[in-house]
Amino acid sequence: MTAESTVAAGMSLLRAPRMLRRGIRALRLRVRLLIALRLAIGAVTIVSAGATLCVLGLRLRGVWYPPLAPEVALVAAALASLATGLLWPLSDRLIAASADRRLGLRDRIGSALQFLRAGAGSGMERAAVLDALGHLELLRAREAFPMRRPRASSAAALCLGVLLLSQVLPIPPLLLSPREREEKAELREAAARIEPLAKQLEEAATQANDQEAAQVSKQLKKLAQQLQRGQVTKKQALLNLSELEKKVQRLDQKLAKPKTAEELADSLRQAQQDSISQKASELARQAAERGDKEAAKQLEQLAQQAKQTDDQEKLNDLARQLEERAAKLGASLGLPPGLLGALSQSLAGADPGLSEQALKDLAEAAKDWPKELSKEELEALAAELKELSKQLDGSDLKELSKLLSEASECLKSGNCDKAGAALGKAAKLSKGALAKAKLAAVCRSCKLGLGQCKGGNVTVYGRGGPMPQKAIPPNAPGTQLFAPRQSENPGDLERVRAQINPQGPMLATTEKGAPPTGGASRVPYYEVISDYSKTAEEALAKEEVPPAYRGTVRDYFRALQSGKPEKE
Amino acid sequence: MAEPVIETEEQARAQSERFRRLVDGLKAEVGRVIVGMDDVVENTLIALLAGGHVLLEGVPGLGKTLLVRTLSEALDLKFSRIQFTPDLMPADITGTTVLWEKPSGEREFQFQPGPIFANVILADEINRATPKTQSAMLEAMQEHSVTVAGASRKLDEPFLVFATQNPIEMEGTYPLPEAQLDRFLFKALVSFPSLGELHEIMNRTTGHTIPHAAIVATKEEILALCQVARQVSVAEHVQDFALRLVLATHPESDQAPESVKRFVRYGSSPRGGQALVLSGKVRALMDHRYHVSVDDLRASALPSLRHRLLLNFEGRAEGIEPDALIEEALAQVTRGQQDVPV
Repeated sequence: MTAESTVAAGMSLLRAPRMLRRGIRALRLRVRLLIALRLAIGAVTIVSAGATLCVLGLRLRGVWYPPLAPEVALVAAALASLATGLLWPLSDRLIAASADRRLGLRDRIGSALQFLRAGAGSGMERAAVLDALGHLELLRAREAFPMRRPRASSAAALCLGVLLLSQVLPIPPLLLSPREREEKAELREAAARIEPLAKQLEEAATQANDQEAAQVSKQLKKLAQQLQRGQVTKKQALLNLSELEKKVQRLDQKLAKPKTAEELADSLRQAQQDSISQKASELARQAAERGDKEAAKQLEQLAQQAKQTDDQEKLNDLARQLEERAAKLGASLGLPPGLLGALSQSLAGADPGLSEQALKDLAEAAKDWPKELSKEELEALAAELKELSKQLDGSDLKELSKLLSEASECLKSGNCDKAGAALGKAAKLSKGALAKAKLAAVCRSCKLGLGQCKGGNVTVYGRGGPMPQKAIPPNAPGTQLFAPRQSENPGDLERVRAQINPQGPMLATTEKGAPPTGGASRVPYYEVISDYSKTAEEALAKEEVPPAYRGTVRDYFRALQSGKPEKE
Repeated sequence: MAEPVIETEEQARAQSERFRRLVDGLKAEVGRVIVGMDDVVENTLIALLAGGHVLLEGVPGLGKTLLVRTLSEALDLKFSRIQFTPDLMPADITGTTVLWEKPSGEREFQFQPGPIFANVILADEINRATPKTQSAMLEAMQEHSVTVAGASRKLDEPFLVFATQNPIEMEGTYPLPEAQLDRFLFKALVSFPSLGELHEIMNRTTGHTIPHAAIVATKEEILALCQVARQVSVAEHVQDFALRLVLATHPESDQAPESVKRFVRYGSSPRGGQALVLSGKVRALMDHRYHVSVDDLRASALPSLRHRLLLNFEGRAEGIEPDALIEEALAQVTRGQQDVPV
């Protein structure tokens, strides 16, 4: 034996314990992983089987349970068993003996381990250790402990499948009580009602590119699906429905474009209100930054007032105050809130000249914008104009909307002159356009053509006071609530049953299908309709009108305003 | 030759290599003469290198004597054959003191050594001798010495007894006492050769030349290699397996299988464990290893233990073979080994 080989062998022996430990550690890790996997599969099998029984029991009894509870239990059990497996106590000797047996190493590793622990004093023992290390270096943990499909895996897959099915599949009606079957049927009906609503909302969300609406439509779809499959209890369904209904109502308001002149006027008034409030708050902040606390406080109050009031006159007044404050502070207001108010008022029946003047003022002001406004302020103004344009788009003010949009684009590109020109055109167009829009909205309801309508002719009768049904004679005259014109040719009298109020049942008599008659009035219809409608509402509130009949009256005026034919 | 003490792994490798060369040479030489009987030849070689005696059981004419003779030829050892008969006396084996007259006329007692004073003894049909004669072998086999006329005489090393016995000729035989059986390292069963082997036997033995084994190793080399084999390491868990196996042959042991409890009167003695470990060491070296493995013990279990199990009346009446009981004991001990749960 040469000195070099002796030294090399000595070095190998010095490294032998570390090498052996490393090899055994790798084997142990592999074994623990396999144990963990087996335990996890076993745990999943047991838990999923138990969970299946629980889910079935709860569903059959109609008891609500958290929908993800079985899955959470499964994951928890799997994680716990994985952790147990990874911490499974395995001695070096056991690992070595097992690897020896599985790879046919004839106890090389196990013996070497013991010889090393005993000091490997003899030459034979050292030779055995080196021999074992040689084998250990070539050894691959996955060969010693290969990954085989555990026997329980099939059972686990089966149990998981059964668990999923037990959650998803509807319970056969045979297993349900009559009351539960009835409830399920109700839920399915509700689902059938919700599905088209969800589709409509989805379409509207796509058109408006509204994320919130898309989300709500998804929730509605999911709820409909759950109702259809009977995956939620009635109570839960009602709770979910109530919550979603609120969201849908809000979205309806948000997404719906004003179709009638009055709705558009309302929308613009709302926009004016928001604009005043926001701009006042912004100016208040700016004033506070400048140290003008008094002005800031007044502007905050102004913002609050704008939020609280619905009155157009008051809003216009607030808009004027805001413009004055802004002028004092030397700040830009962007799109004057007064313009929105003027448009709203014109649409609501006031003089269209208001809008014309407001737009003219804006066009005039456009000449000074390059000097007075910064690039950011111009962009903000352009955005506001764009928003206003969008609001008008889809209504009878499309031309006006286009001009405003054009002005917005010009402002964006920094061309204030062109924007001013577009706004000037809009001013010229506005008066006639607004009048036409109002007229078109009104006349759509009467089917006679533009300018031919002289108003609907419905005579309204009602019977005040609580009265038992049998006490009312069939031809009993009703109390006249509101009759702008008396119909010459009477329509068909019809008795309707009113809703039962605390005092008892009520009957009302209404005349339907009376032909319109010409009157002496020369006032344009659209100018008086809002007054008439308001008066009718007041009368409905004051008089003892049967609740069922109130709906008829409201439908009538709504039809007039929206241009829809009268509901028959 | 000085006993080689292996201190370094290089020495271990060299001695191991030498050991394997000798074993391969012996196998080759024996194979030139003996046809088949691979297990018997291997067990005989193992016993030779472990320094143990072998009891060969088989019908006459199967080549038992030829095997032993060939082995002694290949090893250049002094061979002696003793044909055991009922009238054979102990002195016929050990030798005796005779009155000797010197040329000067003076007379004296002089010891005339018997056939036992050889290295390889073939005790042919050992069960035909009376127990008294058989017992003459006891001291020689265990102590490697004989005592004649009050004087103890050491036998030459290596001293190996290869005894044969005929299992079917029960008439006029004396079963070997347990004490003597226990002194055999192995009991090898010689089975009848296959057709192919018979053809080969005919071809080799009826031609004009009879094959002979050449000398492979000297006596000193054999002794040195016996010492090398004894230095093979045994891990604790391997030795534990051997001892559990020995215990599993005892009917009163908890580790014994049901069949052992039912059919065995006495299990293996500690010599059985020694036989297992010693033969395991030789097997390890033959398999290019420096340590004994459980598989070595398994391979040696039947020849080491089958003659050490004493069946009870029920076992004998049922015709139970000790081999089957040992297999069950092996299975029982193997089941008791720990394993990882994957």
